[in-house]
Amino acid sequence: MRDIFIDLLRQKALKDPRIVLITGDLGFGVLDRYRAELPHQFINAGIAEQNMTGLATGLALEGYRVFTYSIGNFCSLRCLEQIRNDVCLHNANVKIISIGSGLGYGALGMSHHATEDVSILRALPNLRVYSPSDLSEVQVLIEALMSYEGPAYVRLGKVALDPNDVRTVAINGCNCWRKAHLNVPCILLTHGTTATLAQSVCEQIPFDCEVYTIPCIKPLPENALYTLLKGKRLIVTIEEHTLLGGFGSAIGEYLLDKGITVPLYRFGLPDQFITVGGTSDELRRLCGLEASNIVATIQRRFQQ
Amino acid sequence: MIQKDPVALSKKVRLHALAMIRDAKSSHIGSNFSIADILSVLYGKILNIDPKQPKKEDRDRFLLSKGHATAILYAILAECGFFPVHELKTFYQAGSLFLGHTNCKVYGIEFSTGSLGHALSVAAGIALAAQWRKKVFRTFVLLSDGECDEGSNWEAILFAAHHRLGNLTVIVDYNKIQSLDTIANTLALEPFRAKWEAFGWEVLECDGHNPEQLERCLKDGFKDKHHPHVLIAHTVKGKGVSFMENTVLWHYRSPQGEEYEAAKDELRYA
Repeated sequence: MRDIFIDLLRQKALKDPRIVLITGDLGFGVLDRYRAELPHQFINAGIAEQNMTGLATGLALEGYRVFTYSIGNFCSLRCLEQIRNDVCLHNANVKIISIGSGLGYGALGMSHHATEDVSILRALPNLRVYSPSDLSEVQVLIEALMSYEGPAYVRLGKVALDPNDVRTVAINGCNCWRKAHLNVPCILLTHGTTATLAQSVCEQIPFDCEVYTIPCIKPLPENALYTLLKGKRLIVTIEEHTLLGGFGSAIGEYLLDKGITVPLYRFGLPDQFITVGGTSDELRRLCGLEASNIVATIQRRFQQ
Repeated sequence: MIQKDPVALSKKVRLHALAMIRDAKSSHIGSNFSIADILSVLYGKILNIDPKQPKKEDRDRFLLSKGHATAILYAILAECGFFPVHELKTFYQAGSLFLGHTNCKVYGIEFSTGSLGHALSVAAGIALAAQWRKKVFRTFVLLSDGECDEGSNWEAILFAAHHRLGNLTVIVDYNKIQSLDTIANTLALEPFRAKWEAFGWEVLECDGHNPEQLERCLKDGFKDKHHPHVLIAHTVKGKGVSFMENTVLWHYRSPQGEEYEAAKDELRYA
C-alpha cells in the first residue's frame, strides 16, 4: 500500500512544486524514484522526528504542502506534541504518512507496533485520520488530501494490494466490500489492514451480513453511517488496533450520541504490549484477530 | 521598518508588562524583563515589519520560543502599533486572545508557543522555504537558555547547519537561571559558545541589555552567509528591578502591593 501511495504522491508532486516529502531517514527502496525525480521536493530530516514535524510546519506556513513519512510510532507518538502544538494548532498543511500500521512489523517488536495511534491522534483537534484498505481507497484518499489544506494523519498498512481491485468509493463514505441483501441484520465495519479479515468473517458467519470499510476515521461519515446502522440487529467492528479508544470506540461514541441502540461487538487488540515474536498474521491470531474466533464469538454472544 | 528608540521602548514595555502581570496575578516577570531590551532592539531597529500589513510576504519572521515571556512581546506589539495599548489590559482575562503564552491569534504574532523547544524547528522550515524561493527576508528566533535542555532544539540546530540556513538567526537569552535553579546547577550548558560553533553556527556574544551592541550584532554583525547565526545575549533575569534581578523567586512571584509600587518606581526613574 505504501509503494502505491508514494507513487501516486510522486505523480502529484511532478505537477505541483509545492509538494514536499520529508522522511525521518526511512523508506529504503520505497522513496528512491520520488527522490531521483524530485530531489528539490524531498528532504531526509534524519532520525529526528520532532524537528521533522516542526520543520514541516514551518514549510507549510510558507505555502508548501508537506508530507512527513516514517514508521508508525516514529512520526506520530515520538513527535506528538509537535503534531498537537505546531501542526494542529496552526492548521498547517502537513500530512503525516505512517507506515506499518498495527502489527505490520511483526517480530520487530512493540517499538514498531503502531497499535494506539488512532486513539491518540483522533483526539487532536483539526486532525483528520485516514486508514485506507485498498487501492481504490488510496486513490480517492490522495485526491482528498490534495483538496484539503489542513493537517491529516494517514495510516498505511504493509499489505500488498491487488491493482485490479478497483472499486468505486468515496473517501468520506462507507465503502461496501461485500453486499449480501438489503436489510441484512448484521454489519461489519472495519478499516485498513483488517478488511480482508472482515471479509472472511462475513463469508463464514451463518447469517447474512455486510462488510463496510470506513477509510476516514475522523471525521466519521456520520450521515452515511446513520443510514447504514439504523435498524440493524448487530454491529461488529474489527481493527488491528487497541480496543481502548480506537475505531470501535469511535463507532460506539457515535451510536451513543445518536441514540442508536444496537448491540456493538468490538474486535481489536487487547490492552497489553505484544512482546513475543511472530509474523503479523501470527501475532493477529495470537490476539484473537482471526476469522474463526471472531465468528465463534459473535455466534456465542448473539445467541445469548 | 519600524523606527523606535530601543531605550525608551524598553522602559515603556517593562512598565506595561509589570502592570499586566500584576493585574493578571501571573508569573514570569523575571523572564519578561530579561528580554525587554532584546525585543526593543529587534522591533525598534531590526525587523522589516509593518503593523499595517502584518502578513506582507517579504516581512522578517520573528518567533518567540520562550512563550512564557509573552507579556513583554504583547507590549512591544502594542507600542509598535499592531493594536491599541489598552488591549493589553485584557491579558489573562476570560475570552481574551492575550493568553499567558504567545498566541498567534494576536495581531502581529507569527507563531504560538508555550511548550519549550518548538519554535526553532518551525523557524528552520520557514528559513528553508525562503532559501528555496530565493526570498531575502530573515527569520529570527528567541530561545531561553534553560530551553536549550530540550533535545528538539539540538535536532534543529543540526538541521539548520546542515542546510546552511544563513538566513536564520537565533538569539539566546542567556540569563543563566532556569525554572528551579541556576543553569549551572541544573544542566550545565558551558562551554556554550563552543557547542554552537561545533554544530556549525556562526556565534556572536553581547550584553543583552546594551542596545548599541545588540543592534550592531543583529544588523550586520554576522558575516557568514552560508551558516546559521546565533547571538548569545548575556542577560540578567528580572533586569531593571533591583530586587528581582538574578533570582529564581521572580520566575514565579507576581508583583503585588508594595512590591509592585517599588518596581514601578525603579523602572520609571531609571
